[in-house]
Amino acid sequence: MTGAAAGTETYRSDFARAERDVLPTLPAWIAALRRENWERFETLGFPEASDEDWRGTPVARIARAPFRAAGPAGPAKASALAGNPLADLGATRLVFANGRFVPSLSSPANGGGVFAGPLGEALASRGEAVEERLGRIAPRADRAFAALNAALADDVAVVVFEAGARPEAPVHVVHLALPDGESGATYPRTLIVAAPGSRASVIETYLGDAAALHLTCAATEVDVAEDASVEHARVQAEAPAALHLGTVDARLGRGAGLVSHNVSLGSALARVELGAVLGGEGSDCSLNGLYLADASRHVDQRTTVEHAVPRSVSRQTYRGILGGEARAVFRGRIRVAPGAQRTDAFQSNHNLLLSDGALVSSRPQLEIYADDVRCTHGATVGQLDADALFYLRSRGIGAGEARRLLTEAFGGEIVRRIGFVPLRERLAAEASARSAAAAGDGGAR
Amino acid sequence: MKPDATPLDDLANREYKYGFVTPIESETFPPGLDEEVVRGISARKGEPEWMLDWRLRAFRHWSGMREPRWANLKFPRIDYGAIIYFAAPRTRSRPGSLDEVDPELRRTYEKLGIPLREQEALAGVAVDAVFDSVSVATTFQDKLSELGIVFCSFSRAVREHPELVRRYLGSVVPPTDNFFAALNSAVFSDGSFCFVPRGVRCPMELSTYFRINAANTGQFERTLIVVEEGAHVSYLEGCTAPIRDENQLHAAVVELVALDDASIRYSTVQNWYPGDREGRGGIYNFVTKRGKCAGRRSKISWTQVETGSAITWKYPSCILLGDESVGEFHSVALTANRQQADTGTKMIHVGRNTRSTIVSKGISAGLGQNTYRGAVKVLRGAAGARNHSRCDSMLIGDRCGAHTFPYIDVANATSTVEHEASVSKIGEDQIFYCRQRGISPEDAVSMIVHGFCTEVFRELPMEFAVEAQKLLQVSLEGSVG
Repeated sequence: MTGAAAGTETYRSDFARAERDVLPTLPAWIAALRRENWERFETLGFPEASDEDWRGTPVARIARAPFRAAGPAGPAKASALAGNPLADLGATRLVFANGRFVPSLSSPANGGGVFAGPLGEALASRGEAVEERLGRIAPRADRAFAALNAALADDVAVVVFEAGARPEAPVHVVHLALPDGESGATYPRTLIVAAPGSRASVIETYLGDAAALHLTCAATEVDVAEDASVEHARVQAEAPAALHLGTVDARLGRGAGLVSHNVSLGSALARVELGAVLGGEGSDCSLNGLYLADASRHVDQRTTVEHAVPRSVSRQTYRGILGGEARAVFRGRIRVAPGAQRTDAFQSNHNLLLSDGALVSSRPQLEIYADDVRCTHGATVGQLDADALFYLRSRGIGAGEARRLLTEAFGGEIVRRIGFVPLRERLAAEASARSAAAAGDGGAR
Repeated sequence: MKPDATPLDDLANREYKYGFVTPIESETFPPGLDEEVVRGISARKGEPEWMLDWRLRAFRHWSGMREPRWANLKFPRIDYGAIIYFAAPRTRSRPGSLDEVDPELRRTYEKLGIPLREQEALAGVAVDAVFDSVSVATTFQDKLSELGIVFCSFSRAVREHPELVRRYLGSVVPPTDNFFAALNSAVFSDGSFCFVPRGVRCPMELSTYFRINAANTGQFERTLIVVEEGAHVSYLEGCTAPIRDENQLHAAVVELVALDDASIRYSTVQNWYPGDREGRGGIYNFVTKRGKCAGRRSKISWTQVETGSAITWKYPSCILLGDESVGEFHSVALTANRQQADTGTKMIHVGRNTRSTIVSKGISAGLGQNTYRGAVKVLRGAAGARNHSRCDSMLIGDRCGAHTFPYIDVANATSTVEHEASVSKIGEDQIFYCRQRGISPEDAVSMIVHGFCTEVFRELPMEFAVEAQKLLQVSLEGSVG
């Protein structure tokens, strides 16, 4: 515990600075929320390696370095990175660099049933919607890094869809991690609110190019009101030196729908916890995930779907492609609360191991307290099908190319579910390039 | 279901059949555990010095350990100081022949349907009967020893085959393995020992029947089975206990060792007293069972039918060391009333081309909570390893729970691991169909449940399969309606 306490000192000084400089400028309720979360983080401390929730993921790598909140990023670096194909999709765009809004690169929206902008503007024009939800969609109090983000995030990307709004184009939130020097930390935060009957899509992209070790501690909240439906894509393609921790918490009302695409491509260590509470009858969520890792990357994906009321549906499909010395942890949980009858829940996790150095831990979990339900899960770990490889080779396709094609097809199963075409295409290209790299690491066998 | 199914209530209140107490004088140690108790048990059994040292090492290690709480179980703190660690029926001395066994004890086993007289025995089953802390009789020993098979109580094995016991004891479950295994290693009182020499196929089923009788005692038995090259044995285990309002602790250790081309089939029908409808009483069953496929092409197969105990914490495992070795786990676990089970298996693939299969069927009724927890681990060197796991859960009633927590860790790219699980309600249309044909609701449920478990029952030796089916039937009575 002494080690953990020592590790929190830099965060304490960051919070003290926010307490002095930022909190007085904010509405009282936000200041209180941030203080409350800071206290929670101090009480919880860093998770320890022995925590069941952190099994298999080296939390010590985060606890060891004293990460300090990064200052504003240089505009030149931000605009260079904003030109990245994954950052420039031709949609309504909000760019945040080191957790701060960059107006020059953004095209905020306010009108036509859509608001997209930074926290300050949101409080001015959508104050009530924000106050009701910010920091309140994820009530789970036992996650240290979610509390840390809530305490230290100075700005929030706020996206609000008004009742009945059906915008054509998605809203694209780009979070850039560009800390200077060693051990910088950024705290990006996003709030998505879909009012009753709205139908919209939001893309979050996490990018960075810092060469030194840095931490991204991100949090997203999604509130889908009754009969609303949201497609949410989260793309993590940060720099190879990044440690990326993120949470996504979604709450669904009666008849609401959520389709989530959670794609993890970059970072030295990436962990995303995705939670959905199906809190209204007839709500429906589909969680799709793809994680790709090569070299010595570590990726950790967690999902928790809570069926809190009767008659809700969930579908989870997560796929992983691992080469080199990569490590992957998948923990997916379906929880059916007492009385949540007629739940239909499905979960699958398939992993492709491309090299002997790679390692996969898969923990699909069912926790069921109601009887009139249909819940299934499946998990596999395997390699490319030898017959399929042989078939392709017998058609004159080289061994390397055949491996690449099959690997790409395995990941394509997830990518092709993405609705917004420019994102789907660019992601397919990106995933294909990265899976080729992963497949190459395996060498010819 | 129908509210008119009142006759079921009578059935539900039917007594646990094996809940009687044998009025036999027994010699017990005072409750509590310290080094003196460990020394006392060892002295009482006339054990050699090395055995005592082994126990003391385990005890010292245990003293520094904490009771594990990670399982999905809720139970009050166990007071380890209030348990009696040794209880033996008071008899003159160990009987020379089976006819000299105390008639009261013999009647107990007759009542339980366990034949201690060889002529009455089910054809081809040799029994070691363990009553509280000691083994009271072992049948067919002479016939088995002609083949070089050793089948006797653990205490006797320590006396007569110390070299075998020393070589293998703790080689699969080290005395420091976990809290309950360490406790068992310190205070284990008796159990069965079986050794099948090279090339011998054991001609009959070997069986141990465990009976708890004395009050406030814990039962800590230990089983060690060693099967040499090319040999085979099939082993059965059964257990019952009287009805009492207090919880009693049972912490056993089972170790299996299979050398090259050897195979072991280990079947359990666990029917400890499950407690009453309000959850009063019942056995706390914390058991460590592990088999080591040490040799090439060796095979260990676990089959368990768990219907008893207030709490079951049990993970029969296989360490697949030898190349091409095979591990199997077949399980039916039933929790009714307020029973809780957290059970499953571990398959650890070390050798090349090792294979494992897991079939788990969980049935929850009433307020029962049933958890499957299983690990499949493929180590880096386990090229070509293969695992398939299937876990199905059936829910009967809307207040029970079924949970599935598999742990899959794979570090070899030529291995294939598959896990699938489902949870569903007992088919109302199936019950309706049966009732339409004039089958009573309880028979219908019993038929459906039996069909659900067939795959596992098929793995049991015939006598056990029949008993297992009857047990499920009795345990489920009162669950419909």
